[in-house]
Amino acid sequence: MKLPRQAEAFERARAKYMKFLASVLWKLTGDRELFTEAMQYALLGMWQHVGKLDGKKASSYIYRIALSANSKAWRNRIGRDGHLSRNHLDFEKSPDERLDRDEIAMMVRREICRLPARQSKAIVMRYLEQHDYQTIAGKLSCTEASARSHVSKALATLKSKLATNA
Amino acid sequence: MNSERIEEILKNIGAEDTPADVHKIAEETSEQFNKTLMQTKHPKYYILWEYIMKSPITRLAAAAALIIIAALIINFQFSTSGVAWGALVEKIESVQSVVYHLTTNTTMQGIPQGQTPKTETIAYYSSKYGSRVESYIYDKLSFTMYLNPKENIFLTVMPEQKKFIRRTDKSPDELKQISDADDPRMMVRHMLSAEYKQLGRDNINGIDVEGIECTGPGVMGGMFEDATARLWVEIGTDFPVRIEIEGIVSGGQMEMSMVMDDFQWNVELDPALFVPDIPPDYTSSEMNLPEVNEGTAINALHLFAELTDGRYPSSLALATLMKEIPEALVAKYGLRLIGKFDDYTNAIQNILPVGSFYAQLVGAEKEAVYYGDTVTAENPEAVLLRWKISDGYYRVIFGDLTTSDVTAEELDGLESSLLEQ
Repeated sequence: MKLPRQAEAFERARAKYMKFLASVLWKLTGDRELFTEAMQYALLGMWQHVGKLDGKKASSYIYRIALSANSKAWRNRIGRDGHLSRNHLDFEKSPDERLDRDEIAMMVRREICRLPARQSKAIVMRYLEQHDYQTIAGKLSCTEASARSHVSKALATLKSKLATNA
Repeated sequence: MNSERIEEILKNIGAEDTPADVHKIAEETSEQFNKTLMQTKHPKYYILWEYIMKSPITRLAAAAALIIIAALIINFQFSTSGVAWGALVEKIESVQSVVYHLTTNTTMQGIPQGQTPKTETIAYYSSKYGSRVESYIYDKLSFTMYLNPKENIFLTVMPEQKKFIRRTDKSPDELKQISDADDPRMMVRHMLSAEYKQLGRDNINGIDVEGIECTGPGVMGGMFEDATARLWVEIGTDFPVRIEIEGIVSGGQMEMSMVMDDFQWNVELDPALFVPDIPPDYTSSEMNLPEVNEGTAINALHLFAELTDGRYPSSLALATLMKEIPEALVAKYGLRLIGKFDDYTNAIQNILPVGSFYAQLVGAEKEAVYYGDTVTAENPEAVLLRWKISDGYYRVIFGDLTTSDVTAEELDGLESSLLEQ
């Protein structure tokens, strides 16, 4: 794609998906520093694949870009110090329990970025975006049963990973 | 942990609204990214460079780096071999003030021409009042540095960050050395005392000039791996009208071209120019540089190797370090570096002195040789850096950063085995 056309397409995609990206990346990161980095990777991904963001599968690509950006940001974080932010969630429990839940929430986020691509997409659509299975199936171009299967496998993987980490 | 608990956590995460300040971060990141991407077909590489160079944080870091270099440059020694051009040296000695304009252009492999940063500097030097240096990056005032050895003033004001850095750890003599190192009068003296070749006559902007050229890694006192400097002097007045410096960095991956021109010699300067102007809402920043010695040089190599999983800087030229330190930080920390001024300045502060240490060794003609382009921490017994300590004896820093004194014969054996690897 020639540069001016690519820039125009990027601007359109940016206007269309920015709110979505901000919402998903915040839920996936829960940390401003991670969020900023993930957003930069996501914008770079949009620029590199902007030609795919105009077609029928645009919605699926934008999930892929968001999840890939999230994974890159998390990879950098996990590789450095493993520090988990406590500033995002507040379950209004006792300080000890709140700390525990915050850390678990961050662990869940970290493990989502390590799931197979379709499972992570499915879990994000189901729980973070709160779509029904029909919508998820449409976005993943699969049957509703397959969508349920991806979510179920993702939950099982998360359960196993978190049990190991605990 | 059961599935219900995980589902509950996921639902709670999903129910979170995005805070307003996070939306703002997203918008700002997006707008800056969009502006950047409009300019190149090579976004991935360019965007890193753009972010590093354009971020307010890294502008501050860049200014800090230049200040550090100014502080380190005092240790540079220059060769005094060759023939001096006596008349011009005398002329320069008599100069009481000078104003000049410096343009620095950088070209890097993989980055389109014109997309690398261009720095403009206006410098004022006065024997009476000291110096004032204004540096502009991308046409924005990055910092103003004031240096007055007589008043013990060494202060840098950064308007974009509303910060200032005051150095109080330098004696008046050291400040004088720092001031001299950037003084074009001193540069001319050094060039004329080094070996040079005559370039003959030319015409620059309607002025008849005659030039000389110096080449070699020592031309800028260890700033570059290799450099060429040309001095053009007006025929008749004998005043320099243009100094051109071209430096090689990272084996040619980066080239810096510096042009000093628009010289105004012996011009009357307003004393108010040299009085630091710090608005009341500016805050102070600390800058503590380690001493330049073998110990801090080894520590610097250790810090760099930590960033790069055992690799050392490919060269100890200061400009190469200035390029490779941020690259190592970006490789280690990713784009998160953008908001990490402290990481950046700490790395710069603590790693750059190894360049100054090496420059001291080269300047003192101690037969210093550095093998960082081939030796890593995985070659513990290989010579990383060596220099002569006395007749027939050398000091060696090995790949594992241990040190030893060896005879010339032993060094020969060590370096031969390096070549065989």
